[in-house]
Amino acid sequence: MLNFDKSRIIFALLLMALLFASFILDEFIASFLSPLGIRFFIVQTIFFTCSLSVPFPIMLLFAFFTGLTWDSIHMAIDIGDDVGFGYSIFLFFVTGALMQGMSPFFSRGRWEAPVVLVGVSTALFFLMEWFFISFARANFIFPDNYWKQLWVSVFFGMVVSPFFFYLILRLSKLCGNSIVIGEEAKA
Amino acid sequence: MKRSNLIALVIFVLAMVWVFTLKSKDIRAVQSKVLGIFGIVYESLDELTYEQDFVNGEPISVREISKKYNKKELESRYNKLLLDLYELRAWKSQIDLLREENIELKRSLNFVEFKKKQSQKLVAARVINRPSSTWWKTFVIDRGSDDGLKLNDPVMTPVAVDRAEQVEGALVGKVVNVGKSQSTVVLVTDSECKVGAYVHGVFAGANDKGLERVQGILSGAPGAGRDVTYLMLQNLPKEADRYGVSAGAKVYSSGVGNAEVSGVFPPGLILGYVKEFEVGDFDAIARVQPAINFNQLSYIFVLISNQNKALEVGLSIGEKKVRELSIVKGKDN
Repeated sequence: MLNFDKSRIIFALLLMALLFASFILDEFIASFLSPLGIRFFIVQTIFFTCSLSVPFPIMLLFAFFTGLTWDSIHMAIDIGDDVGFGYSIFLFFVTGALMQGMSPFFSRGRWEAPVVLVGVSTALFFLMEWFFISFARANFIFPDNYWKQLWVSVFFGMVVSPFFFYLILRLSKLCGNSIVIGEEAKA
Repeated sequence: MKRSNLIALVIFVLAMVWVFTLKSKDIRAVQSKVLGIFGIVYESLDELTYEQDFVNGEPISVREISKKYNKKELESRYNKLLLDLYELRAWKSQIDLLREENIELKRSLNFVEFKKKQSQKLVAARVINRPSSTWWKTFVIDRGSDDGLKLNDPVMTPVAVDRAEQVEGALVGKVVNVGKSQSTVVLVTDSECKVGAYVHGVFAGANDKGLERVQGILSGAPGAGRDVTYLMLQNLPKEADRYGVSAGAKVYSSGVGNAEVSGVFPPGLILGYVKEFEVGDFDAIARVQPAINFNQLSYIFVLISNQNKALEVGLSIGEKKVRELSIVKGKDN
């Protein structure tokens, strides 16, 4: 069963707060990047890095919270043939589950593979989002700057993810819940 | 799979099902709650808030405001409000523009879909040149023979009739000059462009073929140089008012051709609404309010007529016959 010790709960709450902050950050970043026709998935990048460092049930909780908030902010309802409210929860679940596969690397202090997987997950999220929307609208057309947006998102995601990995490691140490194997023993 | 993970997954799936089955009203409630939380955060980052200046949706009195804030604070709040006001005004005009564009695009999309169902091929074109000297007569579009346009192809635009979502094709004019990538269109507002037209829902009387429509010839009002207020529907029967032609009746193209009217226009395209009706010595004339605003034409559709296709097919069959004949002749020789 889940180990409900205090340090883990505090760590999970801190990550939740980080996810919450990512939505505010996203609002500011979008105001700079949107006029340039660029999209950067800061929320997704932070979610991917967070989902690496938590157990599977907590990752599910994060996916639900992030997906629901994402759709609440970005979706317009009652506009006819469009994706259903809450579909992003599924997108976050799939990509979060993929990231979970890399948690053994992360806990051994290896960052290269998780960074690459952040890029892969961003691309996957982007493509799945396009597919769901296109399927609902029955119109499979790639927008003009679609591939540019995808590569820019992947690139930015991979560039900034080490910073968030570092931040998460610092937070975990601060809570006395070190993710890296062996560090707890040293401490 | 661990038992705890399995339980978490089941709870997650149930929660997801709950979200997917939410009704619009509940989704709105969730959205307003989430946006409310983020709204508080955004406002607190924005330093100045106006929430405390309202009680139950009503602004508090001037006395209370003067008690609450000192002169400097009031000045900064006033400047911030002005700034917000200008920003909102700019946004509003932007939104109005986008809304208009959205309506126009939706209308065009519906129109294209509708014509597709009728197996009619439309070519979308943009008005690229409209000299002021021939404003009500012609304009130039960015499509030509390379796009399949031919002489006399009818030009139309979607227009909302009765309800905003109900779209019909309104006649704009016809192609009179075809270049490789550009064409000239003559408008129905030109007095030389004549269209066979009928008044919708009005019949002249029964004969052996059934009910006969009240028909006439529509053209631009002569001398319309500065402003088009109406079109002229001429050659109507003298008794047209007795048959029921009255103000507000819709006028459609009839698709009929004669010595005066070429008959290139397909039937059923809306032209306008009867504005006034006048009985002359030999016939009656109706002044027709155009269904579209000819001043605001920026995108139009050219109907690639089947007539041209039929002509092409006819020509190719003719050519084939000539070739066959020449072969036979050659053999005979």
